[in-house]
Amino acid sequence: MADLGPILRAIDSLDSNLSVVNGNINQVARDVATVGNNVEVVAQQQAATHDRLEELYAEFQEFVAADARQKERQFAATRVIEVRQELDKRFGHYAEVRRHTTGILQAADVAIVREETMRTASENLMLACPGYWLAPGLVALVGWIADNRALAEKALSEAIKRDDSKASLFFSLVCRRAKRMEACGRWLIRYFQMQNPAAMDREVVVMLDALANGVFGGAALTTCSAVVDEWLTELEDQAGFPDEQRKRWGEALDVMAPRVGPNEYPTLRRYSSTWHQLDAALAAARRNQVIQAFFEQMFTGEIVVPPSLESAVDSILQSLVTNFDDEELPLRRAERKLQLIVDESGDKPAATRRFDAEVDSLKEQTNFAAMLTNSAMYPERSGATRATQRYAVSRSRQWIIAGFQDLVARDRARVPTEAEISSGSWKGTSRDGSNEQQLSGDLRQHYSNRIEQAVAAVVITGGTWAAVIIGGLIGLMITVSSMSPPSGGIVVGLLIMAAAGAYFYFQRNNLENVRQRARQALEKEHDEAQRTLKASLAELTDLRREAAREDAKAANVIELLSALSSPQFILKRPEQARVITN
Amino acid sequence: MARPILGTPQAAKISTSGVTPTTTARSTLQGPRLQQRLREKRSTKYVQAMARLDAGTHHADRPALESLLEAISNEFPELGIEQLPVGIVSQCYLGAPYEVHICDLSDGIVEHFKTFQPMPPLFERGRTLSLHPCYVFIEVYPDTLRAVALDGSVSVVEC
Repeated sequence: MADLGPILRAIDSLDSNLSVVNGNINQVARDVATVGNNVEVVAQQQAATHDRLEELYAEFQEFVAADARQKERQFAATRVIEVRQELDKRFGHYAEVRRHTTGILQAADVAIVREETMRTASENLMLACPGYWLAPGLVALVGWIADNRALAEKALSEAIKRDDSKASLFFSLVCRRAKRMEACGRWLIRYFQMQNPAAMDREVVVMLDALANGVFGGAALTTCSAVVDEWLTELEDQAGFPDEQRKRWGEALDVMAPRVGPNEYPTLRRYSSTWHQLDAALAAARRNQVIQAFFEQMFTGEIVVPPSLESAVDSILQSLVTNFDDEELPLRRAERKLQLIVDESGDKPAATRRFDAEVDSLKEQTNFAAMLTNSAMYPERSGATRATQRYAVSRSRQWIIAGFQDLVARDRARVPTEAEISSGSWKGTSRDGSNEQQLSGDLRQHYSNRIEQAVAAVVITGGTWAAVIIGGLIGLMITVSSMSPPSGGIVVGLLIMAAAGAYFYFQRNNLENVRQRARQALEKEHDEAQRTLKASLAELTDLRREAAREDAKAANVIELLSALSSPQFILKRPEQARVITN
Repeated sequence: MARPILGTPQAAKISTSGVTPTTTARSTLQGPRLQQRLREKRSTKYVQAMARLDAGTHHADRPALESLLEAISNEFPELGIEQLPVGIVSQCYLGAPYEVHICDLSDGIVEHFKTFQPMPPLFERGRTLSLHPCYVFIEVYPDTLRAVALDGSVSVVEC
């Protein structure tokens, strides 16, 4: 009998080795399952990281924009100081001449300053301010007060030479102050003859001020009102003028749109790609209230009438000599632009829009109707009084209404009919948030499909199949080749086949776990998307309601403006028994 | 599919010729003067005629279309064919799913469009505005939309 001892020992040894191999295979299968889990976790983490990266990118973009705005603001704030210093340096000495104007008139009223003193002061100013129209004007004034006709006429002709328009208006006001009505009228007529309604000097606002504040009474008032009518008729006859006026008013009102707060409608802001249009539509609708409040405030309350004619004329004279010197305009324009950048917190495009709307108020010449717009909208720039604002608005109301109607129609045409909402991987549209049920069902269906696809995608992979088949074949080959003569290779081959089978078994069992995890992740995403959708639709409903409410206020603005008429906005001074208007 | 209500291409040839019976005489209005003319308040008769475009007359026959085209012709007697509106857009009261309708003056056809159904691009620009309750109808021009209110006042939107 053959000695089977070595074979049996070898089988024993093989048996123990097989146990080890089996244990290792189990371990490998467990490791594969762990790797599978880890891959799933990594995929989820990658999705989360992607979302956070998107958020970070958006925040970074916002930061860069905010930083750029901050720098623009700082630059403008520094530069505006420099411009003001330059204005002061180049034109500061004019201030002394300007102060002397009303000073001399008031001193003459009370007769407590010697004529000699006034004459010396005016002559000194003449020497200090070469080229400035007001300096010879003051010398003429002093000559007139001192009854020195020769000096007065000489100085007057110099003032007229330097700036005929301003000098004529100045002396018409001085004559009005002295109650010399005939002379006042003659100076006014001289002033009007020089004017071209299509290209007027800015100081015409002073005439409007005098008109609206009731300074010009009697014949002067009649003349001014008639001339204003004539100018407007002449302008309206020009082709394209009404359109130009409507556009001008439209632009002036457009920049009054308030910004929608950064914390308003947060969900729509984040999840709707239509947000920018919705934002603009809401801001435009809210503008109606702002415009209404602006005009209401302008026309609310009594205007305090200066107690005496002298004080009324003095304030207008002060405005004439202070606000209308053309040499200062380039610097005034630069100053205004920089100030707007500061006011808009560094938002240069917004500042430019506002500047473009009001740049006419800083031009040397513009048409009379534009002057009315400037007086109404930018009174601080021309020193126009509240009375002038009211008068200008009432004279321009037809253009304002037309400009406003065009503006409102433009913005209504831009309101997006549908708002797109992105929630998770789903996108849908809604008009006013009323189709929640339909959209919610659509979203549910979308995620059901995704879950179905994700679950269907979890199958035994090609790699697994390859490993099992190759392992099985190798095991089979070893087994077959070890059969003749029989050797330990049979067992090894069988073991390899068993290992391949075990690996397949573990992989298959793990599939259900992977499917479950995929289902859970998508269901979680679906719940989150449903919450986002509900919040977005609720905000959309609120936004549409608010926009409709605010849009309806456009009718109030038109009603308010339609009720205005210009004659009622010419102030009556106490000393005037009657005011003649046309 | 859009729903042609009034007219046929064949009818259009007849009808559009009715819009401009004096097309041989060119309009003297050009540029700003023309713009000014087109901005003028529309007559009550014209506004009412446009309002009837929808109100229950959708089943009407060619005479209805012709009277509509005549109303346009009478409203702008001094304008040449190229200066008239390309068409009219207004809200449709036929009920869901119809939302807006157009009267294409070049084809002389009235068509009703459903919600989400796109209109020809030139008319599509006036869709949102036509749905606003403040305007009775929108006149569509190649470069502008003119929204007409019930009182005949015109708001201009440049496109």
